[in-house]
Amino acid sequence: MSGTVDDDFRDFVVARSPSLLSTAYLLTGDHGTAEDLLQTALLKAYRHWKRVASTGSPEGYVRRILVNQRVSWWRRRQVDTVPIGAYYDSVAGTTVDAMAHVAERDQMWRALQQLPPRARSVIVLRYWEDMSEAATAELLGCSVGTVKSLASRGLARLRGLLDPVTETAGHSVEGDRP
Amino acid sequence: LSEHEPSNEPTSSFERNVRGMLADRAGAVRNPADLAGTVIARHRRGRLRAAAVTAVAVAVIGTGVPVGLHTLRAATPVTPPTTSARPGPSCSPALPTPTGTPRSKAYSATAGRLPAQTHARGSLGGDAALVRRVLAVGWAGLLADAAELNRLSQHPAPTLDPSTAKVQFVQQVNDEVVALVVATDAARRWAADAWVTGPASKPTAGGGESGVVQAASFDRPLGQAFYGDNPLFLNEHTTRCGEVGVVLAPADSQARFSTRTEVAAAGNVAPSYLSVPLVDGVAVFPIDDHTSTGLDLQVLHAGRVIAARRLPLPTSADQVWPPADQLAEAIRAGRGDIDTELAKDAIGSVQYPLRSVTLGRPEVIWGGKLPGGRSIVLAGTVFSSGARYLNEWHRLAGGGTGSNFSGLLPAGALDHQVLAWTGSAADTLVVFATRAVRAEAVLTGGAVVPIPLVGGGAAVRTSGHVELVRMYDASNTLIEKRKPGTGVLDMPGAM
Repeated sequence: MSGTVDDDFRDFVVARSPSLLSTAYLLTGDHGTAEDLLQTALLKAYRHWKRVASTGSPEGYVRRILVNQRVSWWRRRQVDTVPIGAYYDSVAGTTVDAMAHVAERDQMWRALQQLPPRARSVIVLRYWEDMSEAATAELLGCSVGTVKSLASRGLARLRGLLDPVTETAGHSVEGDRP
Repeated sequence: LSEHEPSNEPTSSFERNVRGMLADRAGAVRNPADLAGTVIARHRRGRLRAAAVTAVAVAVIGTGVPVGLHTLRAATPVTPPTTSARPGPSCSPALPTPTGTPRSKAYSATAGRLPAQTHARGSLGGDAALVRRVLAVGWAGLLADAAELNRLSQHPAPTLDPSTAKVQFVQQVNDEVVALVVATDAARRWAADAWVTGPASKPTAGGGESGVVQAASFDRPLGQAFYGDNPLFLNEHTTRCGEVGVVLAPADSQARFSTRTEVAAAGNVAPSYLSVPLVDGVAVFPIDDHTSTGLDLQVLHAGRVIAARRLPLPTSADQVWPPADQLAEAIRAGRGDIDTELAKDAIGSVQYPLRSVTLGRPEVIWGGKLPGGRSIVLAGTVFSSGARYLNEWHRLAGGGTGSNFSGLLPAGALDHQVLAWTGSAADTLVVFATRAVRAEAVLTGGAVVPIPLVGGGAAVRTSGHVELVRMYDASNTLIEKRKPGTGVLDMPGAM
């Protein structure tokens, strides 16, 4: 790669990696895995950077790789870890009242990690990235109806996981495997 | 399908909470330094991982009494795992040969700044000489890893404070040592860990038998390696005597791993666990086909799971599922138009969500073509109880494979049940029933559209919203009518 390409790529990464890494973290739930995921996505983009940059939306390209790679990883990953430290760190020094709030959010975070990858991706893209249903569908390569269904059922599953009494027996999140 | 779509209600408080939770978590993400440089370095080296594992030639001696591997206790009435330690001297393969340039000497000058640690957890933790040696070796490994990272990236690796270096445990496993050294930077912002393994029986001092130091990456924020102030590691290592699992946890923790369970005819499973005895928070145990391959290793503290790790799935030829002959037979028996490679993918992927249950015989139910010509298969496994796990697998337009439908069917259900679901491609409807020879879709407004079947199934593009699918057998008897998108159940506790 030429110096110009490298410089262009570096500029892009410096500007956009915080946002992309946040998304990767929300998709994976693990700092190390998130960085691995983002590195892999960026590596793919870098290999064809001239073409990627010429699309005018390299971030969209990388984000698409990020999301789809995550689903792909889930399918072939043989070793997985469930991080616990971030929560422990986050509650240190908080007041007793704040602890309840943190615990509630933590419970929701854990529930999110139990969603199937595509349902989780939809939740992250819709409620963190604030992407429209149409944009989410385009990124995931599925129909708007599927996005609506995944979002609706994903939220329902989250509610159910947080309050098992309300979860419907046998209910499944469609459009993805659990 | 509209019946699955959420209403356009205003954002609920729950949705606001979801947004808040995501924002909280995203805000805690620490951006790595010089990510672009790392990526470019990866590209140039053709490596998959930026954080290199550097092999360092070391010598480790041990003088303690061999204790072998811990015996595992059955916490629930399940088939007892193997309890015998493997033979030490005769086990194979041999330790991996160290590669790269030995660097111990290059960093030996720093050893004097290390703590004067003489005791650690683990069966050999009372051997002061060994603890000191492991500390020096582990520290050298950490520095070697840092040097490798610095070479790959423009940004220097975090500077570790040698005064924080500590041997967390030294455990004898047959005639080898497994030990862990952890150090942090001065601010305790970053932690790095070095695993030290090697033969324990050779009385060498700086020469002779070689061991291996594997220094893990620096990219692990401190919180993920610690539970409060207590180091917490779940790991697996290859020793001369095979794979071992390692637990290092707070002293008052409990550890367990899930056992492989049977799926009942009704499709339910009851997870069970084997306890892993911890001595002062430490356990090293064999990973073999009787116990823990592919299962979840968990650590509990105060009754709560505080860490979990999925151990590797079996890799030896006699353990890999499915057996080649069963796979070939399953593909031969499949109905419709079978894409062989896709069917293999679909079946092979079953073992990941079903890692905690005993897998059955593989089967290919049906294969066909999506609109546009891409292949789709319905495959899975039949458990000994007769229950089935089905997995839809299809080729994506841009390459790769995807799945929109999977789950469990009770024994016998496939004989009288219609499967119908919508795919990720817009307006694609997939249907299958074992005895079906005719099918039709009822669209919104009442129009009835025939669905041409091949081998009892079809993948078609519909011209309108499908309310119902009806499928009939050879005697024109209705097998079942079903709303697309519902068909099989999640398998509780098995995912």
